[in-house]
Amino acid sequence: MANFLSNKQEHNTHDRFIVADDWSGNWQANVAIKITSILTWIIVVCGFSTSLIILNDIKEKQFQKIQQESDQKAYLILNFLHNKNDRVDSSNKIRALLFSNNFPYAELKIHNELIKFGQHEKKLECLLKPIILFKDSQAKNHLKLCHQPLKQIIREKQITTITIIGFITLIFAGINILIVSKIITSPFKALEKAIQFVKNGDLSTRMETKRHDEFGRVAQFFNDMLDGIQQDKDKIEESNRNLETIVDERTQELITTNKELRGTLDNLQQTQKQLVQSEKMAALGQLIAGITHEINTPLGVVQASIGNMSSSLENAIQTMPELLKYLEDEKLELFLNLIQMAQQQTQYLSTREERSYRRKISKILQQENFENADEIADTLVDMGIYDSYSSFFPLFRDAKNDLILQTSYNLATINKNSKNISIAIERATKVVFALKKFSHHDLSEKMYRSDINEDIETVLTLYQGNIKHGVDVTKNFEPLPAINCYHDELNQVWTNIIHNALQAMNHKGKLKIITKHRLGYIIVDIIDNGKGIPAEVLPNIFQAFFTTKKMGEGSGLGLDICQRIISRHKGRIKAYSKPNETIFRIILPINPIVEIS
Amino acid sequence: MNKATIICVDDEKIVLSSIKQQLKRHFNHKFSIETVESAEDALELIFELQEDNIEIPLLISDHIMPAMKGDELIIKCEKFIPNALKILLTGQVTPEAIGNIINHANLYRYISKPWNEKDFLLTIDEAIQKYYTEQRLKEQEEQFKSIINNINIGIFCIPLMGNGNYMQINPALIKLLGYTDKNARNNSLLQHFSDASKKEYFLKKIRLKGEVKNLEVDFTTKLGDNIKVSIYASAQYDQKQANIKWINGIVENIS
Repeated sequence: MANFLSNKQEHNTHDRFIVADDWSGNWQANVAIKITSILTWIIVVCGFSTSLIILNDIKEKQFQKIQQESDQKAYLILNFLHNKNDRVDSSNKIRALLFSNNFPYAELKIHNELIKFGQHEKKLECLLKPIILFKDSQAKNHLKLCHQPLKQIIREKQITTITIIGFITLIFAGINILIVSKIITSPFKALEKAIQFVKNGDLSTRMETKRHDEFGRVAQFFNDMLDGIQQDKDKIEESNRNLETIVDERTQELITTNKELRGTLDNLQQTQKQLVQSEKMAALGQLIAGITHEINTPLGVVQASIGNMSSSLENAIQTMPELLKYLEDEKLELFLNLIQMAQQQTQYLSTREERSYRRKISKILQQENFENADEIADTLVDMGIYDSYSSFFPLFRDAKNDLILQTSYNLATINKNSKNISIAIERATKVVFALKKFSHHDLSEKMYRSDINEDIETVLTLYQGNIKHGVDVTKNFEPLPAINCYHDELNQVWTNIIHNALQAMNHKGKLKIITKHRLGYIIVDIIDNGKGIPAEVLPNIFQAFFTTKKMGEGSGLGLDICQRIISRHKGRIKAYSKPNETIFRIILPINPIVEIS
Repeated sequence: MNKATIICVDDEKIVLSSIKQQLKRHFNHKFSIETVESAEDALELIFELQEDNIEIPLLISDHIMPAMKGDELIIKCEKFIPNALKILLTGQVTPEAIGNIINHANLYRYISKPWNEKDFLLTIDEAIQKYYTEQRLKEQEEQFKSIINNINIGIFCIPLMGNGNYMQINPALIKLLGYTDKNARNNSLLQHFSDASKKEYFLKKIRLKGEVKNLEVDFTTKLGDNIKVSIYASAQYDQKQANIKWINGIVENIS
């Protein structure tokens, strides 16, 4: 409000002034009221005191008057009474006298007996009798004419006077009230009127502020207030108008932003799909990287072995006729035995073991004074002959021992190479089969019945290249019912978690996979004995883009996607970790569709 | 015994078997061929062979192996067998691994699986040849060094420009001119001429004719002795035959 008052501004273009009556224009209202009330008091007091004086005066005068009159009358009456001539006449005259002068009764004191008599004729007659009878000269002293009781008369007079004075006082008071009302109520009426206008929404209403009293100030305040309100209203209206434009603009902006957002959302969804796909491809890429090696290696072996075989065969064919001609019966038999022995060997030794055998054999041969003990030992071990070679010493001592050994080696390696080829092909076939099974990709996104054990086995086959020597895999599989699932997605989960496990233990350690079937759920535990996941990291591992791997090594989406896939199957995935034991537990309902309904 | 040994490393025994046969047939007992199934075994074998003083001219390694990978093995081997040539024979390798080896070791070749026998053996031959060439070069260098160090004639090599401090000097000359092994290279042959005009003559002749034959001059040695020496020196030119790169020659005491 202070603001309104101080901020008085003129906008009189359509102001309407409510005039508060300037009858007492320069009067201060409180002074006027005080004066009026004092005046009223004075009038009332004056009226009251005047009436008291007048009444007193009346009382005395009336008393005297009545005294005189009653004395005169009494005298006349006595005269009449003394006039014995005409009694009837005199009685009438007395009666007339009495009643004409409003003496309602008379008192007659006779012999201390007070006799009252009034207008009643008979009574008067009977009363008159004694008066006449006694004819007392002193009678006149005893006759007292009483008119109406004095009090009553005076009261009558008083009432008249009071009435008149009251009337006059009332008139004065009325005038006073009128004046006061003029002074006080008129501004209120004006204010009321003004408020009425304002109430009806006419804010241009203003009160006239000529007066310098409280009303003037009130009017001023009122006007200031209205100014303020007007200003505020103007401001509000203006800001309203602004607001409307702003709202319009904003709405427009919002619509545009909304459109953009929708576009962005579409893009995001697209990106998300792409990310999921790319993560899948990354998982596949990791696999393929391993698989390339897994396939190229057997291929290399096959190629090399075929070359070796043809060379060996070629050499053998070249040398055989010469050798067969050269060898005597005994040595020929030994030679054939040697070849046969080489053919029969099934023992699979590591290169380390082979090396120790070679050294052992070489030592023995050196003791037997063979010149080329190393070469013989090497050839023998390569042929797969690790013991009972002493029977062949005659062959080694032969002059053409080189030729004999070369030929037998060539013949033996044919078998060895063919075995290698079959091992290599078996390896490659297994990988290709697993890959085919793994990438059994179905775009129709239909669920298929699948055996989780088999799927995990497939993934393990694909990871064979990574597992091989360093990792000790324990499979603890319970027979599981086939479940409805998105086959390739679940495979992605197994791949990812097994890959993580292998990485966590740096491809060296124990990988344990347990599958269980409990109460309509399949539980898969993948446990590694790697370094474990730090407790502060554990809650974040399923978040998208969270990774502890090196830049470019992991997208941080793997486990997020795993979680999505598992929740798509209405299952759950959890990780528990402590050093040397990290468990990823996946729980899948056997029939996720039933779960939904 | 004690034949040079080629080491093959692969985690697949069938691969080792194939390689060994190929190499064996190719070299026909010229080299001993050792096969190992892991990088750790390879290192162990290398230590054993080094104990027995057996030469290792070549290391053929797979890349993808459990535990230690091929790149790591080759980088480690660089320390133990720096002279051996290293070949990576693998079915799959990342560019990072190759970069890693190139930055930290001396990779001779990279052969991808499946490999072609002819190419493979040719590469191996080249590698062996390179190894032995290098070895021979080293040996010859050693021999020359030994000759120069043991001969009783002073041999020097100094630049024509600059302070003329020795680029090469043999022990005989060090002894002759009274240097110690440490400070020899901070001196120059030219500071020993007793007669400045002889020095000018020497330089002039070198500049003009490119050589000085049997120039007999008086030398003041580092220790202050006066000796008479005979100098034979010739200038070595750069490829354009325009500028003299350095002067080398012999100094013989004839006093």
